[in-house]
Amino acid sequence: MAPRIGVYVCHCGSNIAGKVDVKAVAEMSKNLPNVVVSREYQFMCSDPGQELIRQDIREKNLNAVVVAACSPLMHEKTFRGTCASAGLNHYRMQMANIREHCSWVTEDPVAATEKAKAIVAGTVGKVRYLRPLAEREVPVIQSVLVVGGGIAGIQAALQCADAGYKVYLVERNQSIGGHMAMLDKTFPTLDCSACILTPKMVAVGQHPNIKLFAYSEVEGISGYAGNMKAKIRHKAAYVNFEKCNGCGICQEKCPAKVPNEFEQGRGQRRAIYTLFAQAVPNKPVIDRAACTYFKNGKCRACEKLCKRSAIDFEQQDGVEEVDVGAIILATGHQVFDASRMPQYGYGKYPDVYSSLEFERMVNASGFSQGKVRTSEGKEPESIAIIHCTGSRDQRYNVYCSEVCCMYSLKFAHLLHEHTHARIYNFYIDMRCAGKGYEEFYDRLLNEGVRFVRGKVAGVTKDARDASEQGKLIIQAEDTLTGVIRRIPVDMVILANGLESQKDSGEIGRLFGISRNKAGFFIEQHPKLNPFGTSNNCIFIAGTCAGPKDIPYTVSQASAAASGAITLLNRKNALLEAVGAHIDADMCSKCLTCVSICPYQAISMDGEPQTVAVDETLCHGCGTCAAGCPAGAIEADNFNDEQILHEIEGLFSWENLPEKESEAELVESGAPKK
Amino acid sequence: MKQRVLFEGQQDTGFLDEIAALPEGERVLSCLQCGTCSATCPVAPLLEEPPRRIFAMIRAGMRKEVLGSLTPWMCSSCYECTVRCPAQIKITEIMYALKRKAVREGMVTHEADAHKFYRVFTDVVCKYGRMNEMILLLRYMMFNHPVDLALQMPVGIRMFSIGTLQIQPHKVKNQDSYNKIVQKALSLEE
Amino acid sequence: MKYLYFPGCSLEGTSRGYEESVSAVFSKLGITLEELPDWNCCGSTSVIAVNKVLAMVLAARNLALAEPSGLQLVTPCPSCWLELTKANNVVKEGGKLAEQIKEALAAGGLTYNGTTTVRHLVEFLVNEVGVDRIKQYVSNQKYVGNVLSGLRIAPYYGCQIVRPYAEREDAYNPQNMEKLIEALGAEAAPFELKTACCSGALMATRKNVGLDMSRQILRSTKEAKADIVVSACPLCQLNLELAQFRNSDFAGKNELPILSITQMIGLAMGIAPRELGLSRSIIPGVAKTITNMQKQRAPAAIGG
Repeated sequence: MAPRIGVYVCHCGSNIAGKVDVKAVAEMSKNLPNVVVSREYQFMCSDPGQELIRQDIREKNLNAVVVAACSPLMHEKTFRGTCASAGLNHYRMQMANIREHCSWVTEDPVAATEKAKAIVAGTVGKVRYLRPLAEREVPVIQSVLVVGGGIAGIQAALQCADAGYKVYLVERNQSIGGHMAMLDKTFPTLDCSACILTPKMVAVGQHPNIKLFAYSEVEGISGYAGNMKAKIRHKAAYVNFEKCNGCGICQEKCPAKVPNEFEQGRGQRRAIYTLFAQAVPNKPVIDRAACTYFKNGKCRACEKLCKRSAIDFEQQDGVEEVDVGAIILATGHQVFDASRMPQYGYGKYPDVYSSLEFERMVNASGFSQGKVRTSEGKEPESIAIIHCTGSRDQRYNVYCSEVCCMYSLKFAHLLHEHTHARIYNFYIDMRCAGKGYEEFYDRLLNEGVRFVRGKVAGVTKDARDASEQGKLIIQAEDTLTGVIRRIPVDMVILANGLESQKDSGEIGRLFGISRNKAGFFIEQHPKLNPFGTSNNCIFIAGTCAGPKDIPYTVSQASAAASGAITLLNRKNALLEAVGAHIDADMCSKCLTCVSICPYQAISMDGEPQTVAVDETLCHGCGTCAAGCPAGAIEADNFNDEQILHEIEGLFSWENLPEKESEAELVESGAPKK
Repeated sequence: MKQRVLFEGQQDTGFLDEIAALPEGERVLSCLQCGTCSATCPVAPLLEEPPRRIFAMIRAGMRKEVLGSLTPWMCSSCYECTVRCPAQIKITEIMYALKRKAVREGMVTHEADAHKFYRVFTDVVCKYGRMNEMILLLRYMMFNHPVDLALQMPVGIRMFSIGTLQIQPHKVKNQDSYNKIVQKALSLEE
Repeated sequence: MKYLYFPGCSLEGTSRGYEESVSAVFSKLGITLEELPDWNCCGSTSVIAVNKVLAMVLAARNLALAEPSGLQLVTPCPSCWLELTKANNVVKEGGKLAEQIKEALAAGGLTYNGTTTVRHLVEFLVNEVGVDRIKQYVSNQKYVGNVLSGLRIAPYYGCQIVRPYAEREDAYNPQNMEKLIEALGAEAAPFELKTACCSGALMATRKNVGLDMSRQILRSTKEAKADIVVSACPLCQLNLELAQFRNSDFAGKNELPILSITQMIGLAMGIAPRELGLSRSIIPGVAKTITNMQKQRAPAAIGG
């Protein structure tokens, strides 16, 4: 059947028409071979614009369409949809980019118009030879992998599980809960963090649809869209979780004591330990490096005391594979290490505390039973809270960590409740943008907290007068009054910023997700898709995507869950139809393509051995086709015939004979330039 | 009572861009006005305009006040501000630039007599190639702090007695080449 | 190994004692420090306040003079080290100022390609000479005059040796001087203000401010119970001495001897105080003060 092509030249308002003479382009297009109709219109992507195409397909029996407009990244999907809805195979539509490739990058209007003509002529040349293709449907495995068991992972897991999908929740610590489990109260409502978190943790532990892999890590991911295999390593806990009933006697009697990481090193735990009292699962693990038995072969008290014989010193790591259709990454953050700022004295002076250390101090179940005391056990008379520790700083983290102003205010409030101390907050700006946040600031102002707008230069013990002897002295400029102030305090609390986890690079590589300069995972679109990624089956939620507070985390986690559910709900995923095909007769089995394929989609096997492309893994990038020395590989939509005709078309526009045939140039009635 | 309103039409609204255009001023537009520089500056408590305020004034286009300020002249080049600035602004180098600008535009106040010290230093070095502390201190103090000079006599006498008061200026040997280099450098200064 | 030596103007004048001690110590160590022929003033923090191109050119002339030999250039003065390093960085990075420097040098028949390495004395002593080598000379202490053990010595770094560049050193808590002090058998007395500013040139232009700033440092060393203060910089040494000279708070029996780094090392190595220029201090009787301290503490150390 002879090609019958429709050409549509878009004005794109003044984006194209402001530089390119769109009428002239449409005029020229009418004369290209096989073009049956040529139009120009203000906004082709609009409903009336699309309707023009549909009408022409139906009334003029078009079997190929060229839309000369913006980049395919913007509207290829739109126009493919338009064609498909009118009954034309959507792979017979090609966009000619005369905006990003032409009107936006060419100074001279005459040159721009000529270039646009060339581009359109080339595209018309190619579109004649485009083959109709169809996407393959593959079934999507009806389960979700959630990586990370903090509040983001918990929320996402519960959302998916409640929607009826099977969820595998993998958490590297022996309990879920993440950083939120360490907090005392949450701003601005001052809810007890554990009280609002633990019901969700318990729900996860008891949900029939959630399989919780605690003390485990994802080691490998393979497969393709909607059909992924995750390899999970269960770290050896030396405790049989099935047998253990969480009675806790082993912990009580274990003789080995080491610093407790949950208490930020300020308290102690045993070698066999649960992370905290409300842990889910509430099963202990043995820290090999601290255990007396593992270190020098003695003790084994836990084994002797355990009534369920749950201790197993011979336990090995286990590896398990699960099949999933979607993955949600909720791997969380780490806190800025303030010892990188020696001027604040963290690690040098015992009474300089990090944010998490203070959370644990003021928490009733923490190392100080909720009593706020200096390292010498005294009640502090004055306390300084230093905002922006490690954030908004070219030397450390340039970004603002979003939550520190709010939690610094929260600290001030807690100190107001727990002590009679004078409290000073040193800040640069007060960032209270959420719901109830500004009101919380006003509350603190009225609680008599002394706010000093000035970033603290340093904490020193160099006393200049009697009132400063024996104290930690803060020197800051009170920028609002313009005076330098020296304020002696008994205790300093730093508002450490949030950072990406130090192994976020490895996690990114494992799942194929890019990270920004600060190491946070990059979303599909910062405004319109903050929970998706470049991979349409992998979603991100929580602080692994950037610093954020709990409401935003929970919202993002539910959004990620909805993304996963949407994918699974359709039961099938469409695989991009464009792929590469190897002509076995021409293939010399040099295996160049195998090594250069970025998706590892090509392999040689079978009897006799043939090199073939796995269509499900192939993304149609064309790298193999370009690299094959024998020219044995063809990539859909970019085969030799198509490309050569496009090149011919590029040079053909200048001397076109006027067509006498049925070709119409339709005036759109659009306003002149 | 004097009005303290800053009329925008009377300020030099291009002053910030001028400072930002200097090689030293590369990051000055990123100043958050956090106050770390003032807080860490050893002389800030003595200043009407501690470092942060100087940058706020530059932003407000207060050219006269900035170039007439004593602040750059009180800078001892300790570099604490530069090292601690979260925006990594080269504050000390900008202070040097303000010193140079203030002299060139004739905005230095009587109080900022330190500029004479630097002038004498530079003249001695240009002439001899090496500094001679006695000439420097004598020339500077004779005109600016004559009373102080008299009070410093015991120090002078002590230094003379222990042989650390160099009377004869030590000259660079390759005078011709050195002078040419100095003249060329002076001609290249903007 | 041979090195080029850039004394800097202060060492010819007010810090003559520092110069003498450098000479004596390196001579005993058997290391050749050859004075850079016909060196000129680096400009310090003064010329750059008047003329930026001139300041960089003055420093660069010395780098150009040193370059042909390929030897490293060592300087005892932190300000010289900073200005030479700044000029070096400008030339290495290239750009307008680098071109101007080259043009000015060419006018005097000199070229500079950015290959000279500049080191400051403290870092040089620790990393190039090595603490172990220095220790060798200190091990055989026979006379009270050599023995620094039992004495608390406060390491005063000052500004320009750690800011803006800290060469092989921690800018907030530098340790090179502590390493040297301990190698000599003495006790390091680090104090809160060990990297605070002595006031530099303000001692000349605003004497009261300068005295105040230097006295803060002395107070801090006293809080750390220091017997002696060792300084890395000729101007810091002078300022700390001026802050005590004829000041009743510090004069008389409250005086703190301020030694330069090589004066301290030289004492421990058994070199006579006279050769180390201790008499060149503005504070009278430094050598005697130290000897008295040694007599009080050292006998236990040498078993006498």
